[in-house]
Amino acid sequence: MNAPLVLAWCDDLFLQGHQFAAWVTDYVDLEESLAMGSIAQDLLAHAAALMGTGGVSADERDWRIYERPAEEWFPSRVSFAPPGDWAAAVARGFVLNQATLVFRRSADLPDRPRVRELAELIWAEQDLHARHWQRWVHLLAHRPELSSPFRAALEQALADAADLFGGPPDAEPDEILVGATPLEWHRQWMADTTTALRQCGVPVPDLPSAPVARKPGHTSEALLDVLAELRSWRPARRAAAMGADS
Amino acid sequence: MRFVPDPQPDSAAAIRAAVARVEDPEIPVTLADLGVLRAVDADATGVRILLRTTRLACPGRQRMAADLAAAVAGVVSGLCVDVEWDTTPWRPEDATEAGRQALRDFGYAMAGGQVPACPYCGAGESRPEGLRGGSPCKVPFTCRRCGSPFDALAGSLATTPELVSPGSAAPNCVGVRIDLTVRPGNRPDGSGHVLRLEAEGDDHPGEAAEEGQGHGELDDCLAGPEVTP
Repeated sequence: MNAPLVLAWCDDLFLQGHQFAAWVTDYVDLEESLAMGSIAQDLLAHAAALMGTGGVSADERDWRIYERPAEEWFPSRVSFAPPGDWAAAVARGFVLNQATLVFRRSADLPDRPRVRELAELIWAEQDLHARHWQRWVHLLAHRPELSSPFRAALEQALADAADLFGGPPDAEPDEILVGATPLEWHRQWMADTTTALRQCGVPVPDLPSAPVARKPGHTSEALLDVLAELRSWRPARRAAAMGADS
Repeated sequence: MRFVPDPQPDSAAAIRAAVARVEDPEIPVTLADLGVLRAVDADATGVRILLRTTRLACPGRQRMAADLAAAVAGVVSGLCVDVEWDTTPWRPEDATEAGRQALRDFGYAMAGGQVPACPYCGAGESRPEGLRGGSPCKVPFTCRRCGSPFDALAGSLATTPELVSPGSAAPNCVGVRIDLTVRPGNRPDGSGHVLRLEAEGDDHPGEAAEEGQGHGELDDCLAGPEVTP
């Protein structure tokens, strides 16, 4: 199945889940650490499940994460920015979550019950993330001592989001996410994001007016660092698995 | 798939019974009573088991599959066991009454859109402590009557009492006090930070921020991992 936008979306979910997982230890408020750990696990599971709908087998999934050349990754700039601080994490979490929920409202999923059911399940789980992120957006934006760095992080994340619906350059239309054009999704995302920010009482920065194509991952030092880190763990994980089997 | 002739006429029933006794990896309640075990189809060609986890990201999947395979092998060795994962959302109603009682016995409640009753004293006056608990399927609460902390199981579609109302003009995080305290963190280089949220008027505040360790250094704290205390 040709699903370039869904698979690029999986890159986003995986990378954001991977980066959020670091907050389990870096962010030592217990409740928030637990929440970030759960959100990270959700995002990784959603990426894995969506890859399955795109026809990616379990073995291929491992290849895509551990061995795929960086040139073949197409994450949004929102997802492969350097890790940053908590304000940046909240801003990126909010932006990507809003984009995920856009598909729920406007994607006309193919008439395949299993795909539709899975998509509905993923979106239902992302609804909980929406509450988490909007709580934080409101909270950081309204604390006098915190609002300035948060709003700067939010502006950056929103600017980076221009490629969220762009997909890889010259990609064929996605066969899973159908029913609207990338421009229509992008406009829906602009409208939804504007509404969500206003509900949180946050002034809405300028949003990118149209989607732009994603860039291949090898153009990002941040992504290369993530991939190098991931692949450094791979041999140890394999050895541990073999030891467990023996 | 390995074909193993069914050696006993009633071995399919024995397999189903063995599978039905397999417990959740974390909570001592059977997968069947928890509503996770949805179907078992056993015949001479193998065993097909359908599971519906509480959330997609359930970290216990591999363990569940291994435990189920071991249960089958305990009845008939060599049978192929095929575990499938149902994408139908798990709901608290999927658990049996016996499962609910077992959960209460071990200090768990069910979240399902209403404030869950405390599994210790039964009071329906619990306070949500966050949207997420120690694993993706849990939501933490504290009982207002007896003070016991407990987790409620929440499925993908189970809503928890609103901590915030994203759709409202003024989400109720207004009454939250942020306390950022710089102190040596848990990173190898000693960096790190603590961010403490407490609801104003909270009668059971969490761990109090330590005094004299950088109160007021909010801008530095916000930098998170980059902070060097």
